[in-house]
Amino acid sequence: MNKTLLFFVFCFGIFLGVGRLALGVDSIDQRARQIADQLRCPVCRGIPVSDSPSELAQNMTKTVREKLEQGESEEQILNYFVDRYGEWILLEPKPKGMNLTIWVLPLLILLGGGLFLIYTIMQWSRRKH
Amino acid sequence: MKRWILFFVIVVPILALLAFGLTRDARELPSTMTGKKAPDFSLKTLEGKEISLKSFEGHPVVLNFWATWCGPCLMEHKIFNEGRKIYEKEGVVFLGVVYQDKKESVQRFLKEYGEPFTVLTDKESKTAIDYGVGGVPETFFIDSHGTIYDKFSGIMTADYLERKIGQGLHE
Repeated sequence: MNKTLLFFVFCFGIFLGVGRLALGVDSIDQRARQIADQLRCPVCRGIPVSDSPSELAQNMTKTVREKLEQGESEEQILNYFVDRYGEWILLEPKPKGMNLTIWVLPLLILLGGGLFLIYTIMQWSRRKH
Repeated sequence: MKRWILFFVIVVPILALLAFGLTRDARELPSTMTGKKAPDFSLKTLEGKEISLKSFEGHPVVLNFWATWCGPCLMEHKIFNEGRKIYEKEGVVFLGVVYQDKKESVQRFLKEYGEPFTVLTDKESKTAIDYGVGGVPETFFIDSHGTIYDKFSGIMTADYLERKIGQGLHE
């Protein structure tokens, strides 16, 4: 009975160890994928590095993976690419400085359009009355 | 009256933006690498000899990323051939990093069109990524202190090469 119990505990331990190891490997791949998702492919331009079939994009993903293995953080890796390619390499530019116009301008246009619409409707209704 | 206001508010800014954008040369857009220390590398020549950028300290370096399958690279090859003949005597180092290509194709290409630079191989485009290369040809001008003072994307011209090498030699 004790031997059977010990055997199951042993198997369970191995299962946990292997599972943890597999999870560790996955997490590096997942993190590399998450970072590559944020990088614009310099060849295809419109798609992230993670989805691009180009050789350069694949090599960029490898670089991301290597940097993760060396213990670099997501921010450090993104900064590495921004330093070399410029901020356009990020699919979503950081909301600061001139980049803020990307977020603010659509809102301003929407607001301006709305006000213009209200003004025009008011003019029409005044004319009718 | 209202039409004039609309014209100034909508059409004039669009025309101004177009006038600004269409008069710029996209190849001369400032690169984020300009003004930075050139990333060091240690790459192998086709013969297997290891060469590092650091070993050329004190010399201006013209670093070109190219490939045999790239049409514009073939077009500028002649310019670099001429450039090397003139400026190598003055201490300028010409390096050509092969981008995503096969050794045999490179050897054949150089035999046919000449060797305007010391050719280096770049496994998995590591050096290309380190220099922010997005495609070929791209040329970096590095001064004798190891700082990138210009990056040029596209087909090199003799005038541009002369002007930029002159700038590097007089710095």
